[in-house]
Amino acid sequence: MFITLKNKKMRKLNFNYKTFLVGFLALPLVFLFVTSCFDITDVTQPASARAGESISITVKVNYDSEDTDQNYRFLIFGMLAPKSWDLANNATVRFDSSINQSPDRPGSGNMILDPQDVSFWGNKSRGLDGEESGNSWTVDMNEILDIGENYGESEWVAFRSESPIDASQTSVDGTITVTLTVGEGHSGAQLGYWVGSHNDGFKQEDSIDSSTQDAKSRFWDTHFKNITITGAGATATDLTGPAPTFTAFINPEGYMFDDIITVRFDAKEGLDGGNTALYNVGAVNMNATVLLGDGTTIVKADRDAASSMTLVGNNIWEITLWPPGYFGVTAGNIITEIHLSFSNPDGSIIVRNPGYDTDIEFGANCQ
Amino acid sequence: MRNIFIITLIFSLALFSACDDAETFDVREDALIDYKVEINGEWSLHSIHRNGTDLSGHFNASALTLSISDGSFTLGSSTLPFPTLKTSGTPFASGNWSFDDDFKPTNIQFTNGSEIVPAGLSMPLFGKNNSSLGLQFSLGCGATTYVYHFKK
Repeated sequence: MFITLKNKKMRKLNFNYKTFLVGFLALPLVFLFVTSCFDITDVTQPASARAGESISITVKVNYDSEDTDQNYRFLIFGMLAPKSWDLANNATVRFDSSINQSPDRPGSGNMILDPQDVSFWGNKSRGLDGEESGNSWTVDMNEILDIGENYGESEWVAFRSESPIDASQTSVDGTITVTLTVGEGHSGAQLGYWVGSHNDGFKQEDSIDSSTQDAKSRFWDTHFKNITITGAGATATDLTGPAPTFTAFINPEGYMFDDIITVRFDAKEGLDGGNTALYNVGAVNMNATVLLGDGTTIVKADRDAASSMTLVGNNIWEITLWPPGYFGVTAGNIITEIHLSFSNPDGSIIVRNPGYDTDIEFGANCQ
Repeated sequence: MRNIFIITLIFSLALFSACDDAETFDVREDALIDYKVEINGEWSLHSIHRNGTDLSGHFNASALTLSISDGSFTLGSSTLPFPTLKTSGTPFASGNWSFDDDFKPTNIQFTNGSEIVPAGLSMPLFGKNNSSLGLQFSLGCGATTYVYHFKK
């Protein structure tokens, strides 16, 4: 009885050992035959573009099937851009490669906007575990991927090859070309690119060493690149800078510096949702510098009675003034910008633009 | 025949009774006769509205006086906003003025000879004895309008 048990135990041990050994030896072969990898090797994107301009962006991709059967694979591409650009309606995408193994599953062609109909097999996204997530590609991109250096107001938009591709037993350099119209609303942004295939999706596995930029998986790759936008409007924000706060703004909505303006300071609108240092103080003064058309400046930061603000709400202070009279602008000159900070009456607490520690700057805003 | 007589009588009574209800109104003589509108005098700013919001409390409005005589005007202050004081043009605190129509004006324009600054009239003017003068204009951004109410 005892011997039998021992033999059983030994047999069990021998079985596990062999299984482990076989499995260990076969592991590289398993990877060899079931993986394929994507690597974004370069992105050609204008460093600067004008709002309203049509631009073309080229994403260079190295694809390696790693000698595996990769037939009937949809190519999935994602792009990160400001929401105001409305990529879904303003971008066209195509891919090109030398793959030509099957005419009905071509290695080049147009890409369509993610239909987000997950009843179709090619539209079913796979999450970080490689399993179908039940979401569309667009939904998972926005849930899984970050938005680079942008503070927000950006979105990933997914595109899918129109037809499946036969990319078996091949290694190829291809390109994805995006043509889009640059939108308004932002003076700077970081654009992002994602590439992968429908059968692996966002499945994570160590990236290959040759990956060029922050690849998180061998099955897909991302790339981010900054762009400067000119002519984006007076209220345009730089998405790569600190998120704008509503510490101060000017009423009315449309104004020039010959208008009567109301400067509003909200002491509750500090950095990252916190209060400013002037929260719950008893009095606030506006400190202002105006830039004039002749290049000179006029500073009014002596915290006098004229600069005293009126409490109009919960930690909200206002002052209404006519800039030419308030600053004593002489005939022949005009105000081009106003730079503001706020302080308590003795000047011991000063609030500037949260996140920048510079004055809050306003130009004329009349459209 | 008798019925026709009765119906005629009823209609006649109805018509006569309607005439009895006629009302009378007192009408200013200058409302019926075209007088040339006259606004000469010393005007003081009573209220300032920007896009319908009253801003009068933010300014010493009464300090802005508008002295008008036959064809000429003078502002009492150049530090309070007025359309002729816009820095985007050549500001002027005195000059000449004229209506677009001497009898039924809807606009007034101020000029210093080279600059012409128009303003709408936000309330009707009588031929004589006007005690209110309303001007409507933009100072800088056309989307933002102001209404100044002057009183004598």
